[in-house]
Amino acid sequence: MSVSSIRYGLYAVLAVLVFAGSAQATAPAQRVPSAIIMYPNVRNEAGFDTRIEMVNLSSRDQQVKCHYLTPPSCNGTDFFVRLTPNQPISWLASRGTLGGGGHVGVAVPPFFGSGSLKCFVIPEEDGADQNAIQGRAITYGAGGYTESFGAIGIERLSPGEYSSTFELDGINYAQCPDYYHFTFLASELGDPDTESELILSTCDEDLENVIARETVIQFEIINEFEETFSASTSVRCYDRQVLSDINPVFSRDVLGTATGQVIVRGVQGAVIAVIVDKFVTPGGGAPAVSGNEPALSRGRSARIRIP
Amino acid sequence: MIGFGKIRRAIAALVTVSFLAGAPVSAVEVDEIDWTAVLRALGVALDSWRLSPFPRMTPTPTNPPATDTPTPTNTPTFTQTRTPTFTPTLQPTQTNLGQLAFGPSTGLAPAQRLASAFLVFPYVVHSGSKETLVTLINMAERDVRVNCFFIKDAGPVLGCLEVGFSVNLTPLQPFSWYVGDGTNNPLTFTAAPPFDGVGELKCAVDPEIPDLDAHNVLQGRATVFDDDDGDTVAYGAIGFQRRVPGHYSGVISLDGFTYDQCPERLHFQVLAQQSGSNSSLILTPCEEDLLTQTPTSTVVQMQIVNEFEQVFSSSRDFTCLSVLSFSSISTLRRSTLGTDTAHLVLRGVSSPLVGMVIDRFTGGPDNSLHSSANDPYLEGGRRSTVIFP
Repeated sequence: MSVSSIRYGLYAVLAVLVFAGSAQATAPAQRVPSAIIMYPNVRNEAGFDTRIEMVNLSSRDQQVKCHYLTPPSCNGTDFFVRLTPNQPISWLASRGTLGGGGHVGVAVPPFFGSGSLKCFVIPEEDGADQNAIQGRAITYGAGGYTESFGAIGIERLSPGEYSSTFELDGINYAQCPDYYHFTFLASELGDPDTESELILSTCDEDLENVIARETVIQFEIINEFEETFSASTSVRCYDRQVLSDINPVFSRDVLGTATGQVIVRGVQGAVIAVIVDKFVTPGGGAPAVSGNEPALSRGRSARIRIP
Repeated sequence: MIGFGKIRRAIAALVTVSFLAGAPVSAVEVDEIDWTAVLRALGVALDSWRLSPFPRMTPTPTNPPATDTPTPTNTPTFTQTRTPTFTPTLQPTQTNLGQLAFGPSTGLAPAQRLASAFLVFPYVVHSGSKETLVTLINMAERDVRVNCFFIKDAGPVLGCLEVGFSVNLTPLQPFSWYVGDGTNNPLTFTAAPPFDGVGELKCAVDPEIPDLDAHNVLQGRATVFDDDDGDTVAYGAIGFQRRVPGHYSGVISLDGFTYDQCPERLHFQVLAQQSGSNSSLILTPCEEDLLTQTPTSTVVQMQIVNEFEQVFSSSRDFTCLSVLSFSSISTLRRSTLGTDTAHLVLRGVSSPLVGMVIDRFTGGPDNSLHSSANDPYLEGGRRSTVIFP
């Protein structure tokens, strides 16, 4: 056996070892009981309030730790929630809750401004199934304004000891979504304008060292004639931007069609993205608002550290 | 005879060994041998060996208590403690026994918000001032043909009426239309007939090739709005992925082998019905035979858990499509529940279900009426079949 053939054999073994340890890049399954849930949008500001809902989908007690992150400081406000089997709870961001109405293990501070909320199941014992919760946040304001989003769920994939560092690597926990596919309504001047908004937050978080993540966001935009455009912006922990302010390509004049597909991806790290559709009804000219949740494709590893 | 070069290499090897052993060797000039430094390095290396973990093992035989080495003794104890704790904890999750009287759920719920081969829009409306904007997106970089059917409950005589159509989507193309108007766009070679009434929309991918990747390419969304007052509800379609390659035949076997199974149970967190808040529950059966026009009827069993973990139940039967106001279900009233929100668990008896809740509540600075779509969380899976003509 020659030296080179031994060397190639070693390379092959090394390659097998490397790829055997890597996770398959798949988007996390949604609308199933999860171990981590990420609310992309919580608001308590200027006439807006948010009802935050959380439900225990298991038949066991669950201890949940949550962190509310708001710019510009990107510091976390954290609290614990204890849920009995199958228990639903909800509270208003403006008020929080302090164990009222028999919620013995629930104390939530009020939230201010707008930001994102991340919650983690803390198992009572190592090895316990952590895929147990789901949630939703409904933001409302004057004139029937309503935007509601289900939380992005991340399942625990393998049993193991609890750690305050969550490896969203496709082995311990499901990965963060990598590509977000939205259909969006092109911005258009009117009374009122059709001006949809994009809400972005980072998937990676280091809440222990309070290091805010920043990443560039790339957009690929496809109109109904399959013509492709691109744009970019950036986000630091959480941001909310009007689509046509990001780039004129989101306006009907440039796009050429009333709707388009936009594919959103963070460059330096995975992100969470949702759109708020704001449009005018075609017949009556009434202003309308709705949450626009994306389809997901591929996964991307991320790490979340909590204190 | 040993040459000077060999001695120099031997010394260099010794220095390297000492360096690897952690000795703090610095600035060693090999050409001019500094014997003091060499000896110091050797001494440090010997010290480091002495301090390394290996010599620690040596005292073991001389010290009987240390020979007991708690480590191996502890290891099995630790394992045994964990194993029984782990197993029983998992059981309640899979069976969901406890507060709810439903039996164990088996199978896997379909993963949502991913590129799918079959979509169900449970609520599509064109009635009065209400209109729906349906959007489909091709998430693949290849052409795809989509076979769709509007289905509505036309009463006990006519049963479930369907209107079918096909659209071709180019790579990554978004396609949207108002269901009341339909669409016929010669530029994009897409057309959909107008729809009237309240119903559901089911769409299946009919790929040109049997590859699995060619099936799982579709996603969709519906925005139901009131033209007059802007009241809007938008939701994502419930998606089912194809699991094996093969040709599309019009028979969509949601059996967990060909396609994902239908969800066994739907979980919602809902707002209790009270003054100013009256949500709606929309349900449609997974099972559908449009070839023989056989309408599917099923009973839906409901379990309702309030915030104090108290459990209530209710049931209804329906055919084709059900739109139920919360005020018609006494156990969803605030006066019965005693809490603002509840956990609603639904299970179809004869056929699994898909559906959604439309939250309606008052609030905000002007106490105005708000609406939002409330998509379900899914649990378990159950076999079902959809047959297109």
